[in-house]
Amino acid sequence: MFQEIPSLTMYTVSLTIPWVQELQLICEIPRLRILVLSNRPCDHEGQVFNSQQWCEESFPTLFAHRSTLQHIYVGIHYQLPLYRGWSREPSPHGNEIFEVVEVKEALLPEWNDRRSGDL
Amino acid sequence: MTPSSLHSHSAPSYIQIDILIIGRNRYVETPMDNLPLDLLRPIVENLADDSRSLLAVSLASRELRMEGQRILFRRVTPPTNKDHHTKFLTAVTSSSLLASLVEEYHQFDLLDRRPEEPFLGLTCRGLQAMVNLKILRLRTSNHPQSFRGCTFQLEALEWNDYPDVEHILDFLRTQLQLRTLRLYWKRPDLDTSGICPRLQLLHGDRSTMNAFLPGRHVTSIKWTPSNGELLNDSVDHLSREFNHIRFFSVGGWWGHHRLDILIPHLGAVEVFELGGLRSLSVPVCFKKFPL
Repeated sequence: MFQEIPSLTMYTVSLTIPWVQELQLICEIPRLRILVLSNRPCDHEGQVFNSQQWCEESFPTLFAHRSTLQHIYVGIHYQLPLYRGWSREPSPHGNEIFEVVEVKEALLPEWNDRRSGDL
Repeated sequence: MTPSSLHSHSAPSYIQIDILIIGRNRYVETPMDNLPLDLLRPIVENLADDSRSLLAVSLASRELRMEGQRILFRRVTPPTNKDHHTKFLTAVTSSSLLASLVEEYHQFDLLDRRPEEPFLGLTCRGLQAMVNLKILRLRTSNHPQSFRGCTFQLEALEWNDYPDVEHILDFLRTQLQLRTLRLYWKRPDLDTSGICPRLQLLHGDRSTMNAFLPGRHVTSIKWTPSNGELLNDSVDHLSREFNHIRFFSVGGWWGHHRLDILIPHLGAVEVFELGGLRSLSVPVCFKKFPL
């Protein structure tokens, strides 16, 4: 009597925003050595890039485009200062996850110097 | 357990000394007291990340107390709990020696707007006592007078309040050693030239950049736009200062400045952070077919 009706299910799929144009612009910085892409402190979804595959496919292009670029760090948590690191020379252990206490400490060696008592 | 088994399990003598040190709340002569300071200090320094052990060490002997407290009071970042801060501030206002040990202090969201509040007075007296303070992170509600009478020369200041900008400007005029400044500047009309001449690291919004970049040799910028900030204005007037920047971070809750405007000025940047990025989730409908 009742015909089975295919159910319509709503899925939420996280899509990557590639920011392709902005990444291309950033790669115009002539001495760029380290690029950090961070979702802190705003994003409550979890990661900057939900697609690791996209990173694996796209970052080599960035490395090729900007010969000075050595490392790309991508935020992987909206609260914790956790980043996945991608290097020009791939690590034998794959993409390493780094913990950085504060972005400023990742970016600003002066702060680290102060903290380690070198000043 | 028999006496013989106790004996067979007795620990080496140095362990017994450790137990003696940790177990007593009054000072006793221990073999550690005979160690010269040159040897003692690096041993205690190894406990710098272990405050529980440092507390135990500080209770062991007079010599160790000094060494333990020297580290315990060096960097004071208690949780946002008024009781913790009250105890700390009471300690430093009671002892100029302890106060002189403090090089870094953080206090967030504990001062309210009542000028008669006792905790405000205690904070002011505590800051005045910390004569060797180098790093201060303070988030308050309209209390720039916290700095009155302070003689410290800061190397880093994070100040998350801004209503009385003129008062903070007076304070900054006295800080000739300041190298790191985090501030949201709201008075572009005020003259900031010559203030903080040794600034190297600047964190703030566009107004902060306009006020504190020109004329300084800042090498690191963290540009976090404030609410309502225009993100497509020219930065040509800062082009000369941007030439010194090696570390550039941009972005936050309110987006980031247009990169096509910024990036032509970042010829010396080696580390670039694009912050405040958002991932995107979109609902997608899938038709679920019966297997």
